[in-house]
Amino acid sequence: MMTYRNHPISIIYFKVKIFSLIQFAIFLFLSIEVAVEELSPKIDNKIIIGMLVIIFSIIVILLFRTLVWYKTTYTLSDNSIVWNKQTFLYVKNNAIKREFIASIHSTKPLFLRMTNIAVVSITTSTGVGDKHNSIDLVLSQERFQEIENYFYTDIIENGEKIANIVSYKYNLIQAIEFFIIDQFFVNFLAIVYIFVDIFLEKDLNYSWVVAILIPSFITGMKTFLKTANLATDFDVSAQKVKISYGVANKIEFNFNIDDIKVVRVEHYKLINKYNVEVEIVGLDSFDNDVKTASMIITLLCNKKRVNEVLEMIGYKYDDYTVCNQSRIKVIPHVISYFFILLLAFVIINVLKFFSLFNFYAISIIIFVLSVLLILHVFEIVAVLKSNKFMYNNYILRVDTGFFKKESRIVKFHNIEDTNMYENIINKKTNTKSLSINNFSVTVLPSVLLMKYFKKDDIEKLNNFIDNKFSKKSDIE
Amino acid sequence: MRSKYIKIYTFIRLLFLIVLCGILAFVLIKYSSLSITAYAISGTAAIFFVIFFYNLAKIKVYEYKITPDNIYVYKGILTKHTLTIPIRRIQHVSYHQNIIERKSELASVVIVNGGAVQTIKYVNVEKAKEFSEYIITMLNRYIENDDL
Repeated sequence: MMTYRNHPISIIYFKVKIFSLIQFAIFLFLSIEVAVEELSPKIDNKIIIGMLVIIFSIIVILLFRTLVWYKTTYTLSDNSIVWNKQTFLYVKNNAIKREFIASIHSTKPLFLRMTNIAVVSITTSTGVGDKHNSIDLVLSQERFQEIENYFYTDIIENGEKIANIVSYKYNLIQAIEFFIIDQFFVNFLAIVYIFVDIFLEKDLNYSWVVAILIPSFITGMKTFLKTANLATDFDVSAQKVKISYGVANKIEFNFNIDDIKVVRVEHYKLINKYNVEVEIVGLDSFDNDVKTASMIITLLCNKKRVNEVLEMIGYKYDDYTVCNQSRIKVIPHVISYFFILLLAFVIINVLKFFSLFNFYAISIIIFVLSVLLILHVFEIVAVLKSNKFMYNNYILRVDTGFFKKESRIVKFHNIEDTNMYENIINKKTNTKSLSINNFSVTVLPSVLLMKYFKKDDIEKLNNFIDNKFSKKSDIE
Repeated sequence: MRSKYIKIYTFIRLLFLIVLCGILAFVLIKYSSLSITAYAISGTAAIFFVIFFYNLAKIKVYEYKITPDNIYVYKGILTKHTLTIPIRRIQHVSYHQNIIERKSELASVVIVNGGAVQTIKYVNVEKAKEFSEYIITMLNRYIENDDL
């Protein structure tokens, strides 16, 4: 058992957004200036007084943080990591049992990179109450290595890792391609707008183009900066995966293959390229920017690579030789959208009944809803027709989308819960819907949603999953 | 025990409705003409009564079943849901009581599995205790038999 403290640099490492810090400083500075003006208008050097007060507050905060740093320790033992934080207000004690560690995630922000220091987060596979199930540490490279070794004990033999690691690295061109594809829809809209403007009005309105393109560019750049240095190492014998990425902030994820809940494969049909993402419970607590619990493991690769990668993590993409299949019933889905429109009309009429103002806003809402409905009907008829699910004895795959086909693959023994439901449309059209893994903490992606499939097929699948729950699942 | 809950629920919701309509009537009579007041009060009352009866019906159709392997929850009026939670996947279980539940000796059982929280409502306190103990016993049995 060894007890350590965070690296002393954690005293000055403020985990706050830089813009809010600047805003706060300006606010503080202006408040001090106004206060000095009111108290003693004769004093000329208000700026100096203001600066002194700010410096004094910083010193107080630093002293406070030094005390917290001194009182905060973490202990590595054979069975668990225990983290103990003490402040004036509270004492916080987190213990994570070793076998429940879902992943270790390290971030090296730009300004900390020179000092060879990393911010490390260790989380459990429980998705509930992320704040209570994660430990944040600021460590030097050596200490980080120790933690990593602690996590990787299984694969360390005589101080050397077993040489069974398969690595994939991605180059700049792939990252640029991904940026273009990721923002394809917005860019496409901008191009259409430019053409319409040039040919119909003969007068290009640049402000609109800029308004469309700039947000797209910023989002794209964010994705680009994240994926530019993407590298994935698979250690098949030890069942571990290590993903590192990022240009400004170097980020590294370590997790167990067993903790993967769902695999998502995106197929860009226009260029015939695939992205593979994995979803792990608790992943969203690592990175504030990542709102979903998914992590890209391969980027814009061909089908052969997808099969290779999935095989390494124990999944299959193509091989469903002995399987049950079912396709969506499109008509009930279309009817469901008409119901939404009907509901909107009812709400509008209620509003009309109760209010006395003019109804320009309501007519706009009706117009927008009609457009959305028409778009949805097109989407449903053309796109949802390709929705299907297939399963064999131990794996289930749900396909959605047409131009960008998305397949979610889950092993039966990773299913946390199921929710089979039937609404009025379902009843009339002899269909049913089923959703799997209704995680409330991770944001949406882990849910496998099968809407408006044949009733018999859904019931058969649900019974099949029920039977799988009642005995230890077959793991191939 | 559910009928007891329904009685308490009905009483509290009706009281809430009467107080709300009273406040609305007071505000509207004081600040606006009479015709709008009549419309507003009747409209609000109608909406609240619909919501009230809908919730009441929701409690009526709410059912749960526990087997050695799974917990089943049946709920919903317009959309019928069948929720299945495998006991093997449960990470922890607890039961909670709010003020209404405390007065009526009822509790909500909270089941946590990897990432999700499921609440089974309107359960008798004794049943809730039994429920949690049963789940823990089953989980221990699975661990002993290495069957998780």
